[in-house]
Amino acid sequence: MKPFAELIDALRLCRFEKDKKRLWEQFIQNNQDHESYVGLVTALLKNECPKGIISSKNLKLLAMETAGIPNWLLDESKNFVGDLSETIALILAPLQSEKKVDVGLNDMLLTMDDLRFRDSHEIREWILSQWQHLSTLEILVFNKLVTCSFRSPLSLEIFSETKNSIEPIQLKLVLLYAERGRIKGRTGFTEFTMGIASGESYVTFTKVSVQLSDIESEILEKWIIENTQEKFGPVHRIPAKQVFTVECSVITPSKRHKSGYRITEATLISWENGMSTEQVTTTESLRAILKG
Amino acid sequence: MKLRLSKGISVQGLAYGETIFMNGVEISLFPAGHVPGSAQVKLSYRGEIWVISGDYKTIADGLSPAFESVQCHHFVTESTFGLPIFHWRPQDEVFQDINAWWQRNAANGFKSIMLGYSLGKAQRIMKYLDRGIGDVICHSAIADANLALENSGFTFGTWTEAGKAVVDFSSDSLSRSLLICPPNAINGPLMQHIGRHEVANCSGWMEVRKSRNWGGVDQGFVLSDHADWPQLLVAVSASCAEHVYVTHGFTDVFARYLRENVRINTEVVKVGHWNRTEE
Repeated sequence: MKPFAELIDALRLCRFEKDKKRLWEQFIQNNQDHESYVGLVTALLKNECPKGIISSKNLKLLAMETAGIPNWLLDESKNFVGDLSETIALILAPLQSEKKVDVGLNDMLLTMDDLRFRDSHEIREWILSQWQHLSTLEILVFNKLVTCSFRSPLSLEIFSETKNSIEPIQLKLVLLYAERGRIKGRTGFTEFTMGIASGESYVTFTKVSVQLSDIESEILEKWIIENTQEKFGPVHRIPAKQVFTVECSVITPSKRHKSGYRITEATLISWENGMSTEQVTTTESLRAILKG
Repeated sequence: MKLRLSKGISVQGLAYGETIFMNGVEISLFPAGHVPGSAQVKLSYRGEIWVISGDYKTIADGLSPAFESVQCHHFVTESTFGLPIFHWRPQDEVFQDINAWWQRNAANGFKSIMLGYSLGKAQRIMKYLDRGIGDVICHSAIADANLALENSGFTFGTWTEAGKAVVDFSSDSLSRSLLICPPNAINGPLMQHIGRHEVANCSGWMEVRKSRNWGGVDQGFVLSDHADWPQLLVAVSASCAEHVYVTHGFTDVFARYLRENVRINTEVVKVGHWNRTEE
């Protein structure tokens, strides 16, 4: 369980698809003598996960009872952390026993399979015992597996040699959030969250790395700083005014994303300085493009 | 204080426990355990006692004078990390991880860059770095704080100022070194001449995975000079205060918890602008 949890965490912390690919290839190489283990991990990373044994709601109740935390406080914590499984893992941290037991991923999934048709009391007891001796990172992944909310950090393309047969489409998207980071050894806006038009407003659609000429970067940086409406750490929220052309090669429908789509490969092509936001692609027109 | 604010300020030093009177109010300072010199302020007037915690942590770090709990009627507490998701591991464990990271980088020919605030965090890190691995080099802002603290009798091992060593830092002879910088120096000129390196951030925010992506650092270590959730609760309970005022951080959440679950009269106090990512 530990190597798997560490792999998932490392993949989630990667900022670029190429780094994920490298990590994944390294993992396969390190485990080349454990074919069935690699097969199991591959299946999980293709989102072929077993059915859950407890609902997220009941897992949350169990965590509240165990940690002695009221509902509203867990909700407030989740609002900050952004993920229920991680929130529960962090809240349980002080209750873990010193003695960590190394549970194999395969054994874990087999036990889950056994428990599926058992009494809910037995399932709760088993989850409590796992919470005691797994590490915080392992609990995070464990929570996702038992509630069937595990989502692969790897795109399907990494598994398939066909990695480019999709014709990329170019969309006009509007800049909603800009994140500061390091770029070419200095501070700058390194990542943009782009929005697509949906009804009267814009919803977040995809993130792109910023690749612009120095002059464009400079003008935009000034504009972003002057027009920042709100700051969350290094992330600036700005009015939806600046339009960009973004090329997307993999767009799949997804109920988990606000726009209704999951985008795995998005590249910033150009800044359409002065273009009206009326030109921004709408969710309706995207649907038509994808059907066509 | 002159280093942080201005050399020209008029300031009167007060030893911990020493008392002065202003307008009939008895004022004394008690260690807050946050950074060297940090203090809680105790105000007494006609038998009523107020304590303003400032930033604090109740766990001793071996560098700053340890937090002293002061009984009072009214306690003003910070709540930077006022959510039950924040639990700090013992600092020995964190420093084991930090030294292992440094050792690994040194073995792989990567220089190590550690981000930490100039006053307090940087010296706390320096005190526990394993000098068997390599040399410690400090950004000039940290060097200034080091000198001021060393003049006041604090010790945290040997170090060299980056200004004098920066040219060499790009050379292989210093590839086993660790450079400590304030977080904002990550984009400064120093970084452009460094060659292969890994950057780590040392902060309480590193507890949460999404924060680890901030600023694109390679590694996050959870090390804070603020109280975590259990320490906040310990400090409030040890103060024996009948009224608690919560400021800075997750104020609404912590105040509600104290009111509803600990049953203490608690209010939120808003002071100026505060940015959650500052620590």
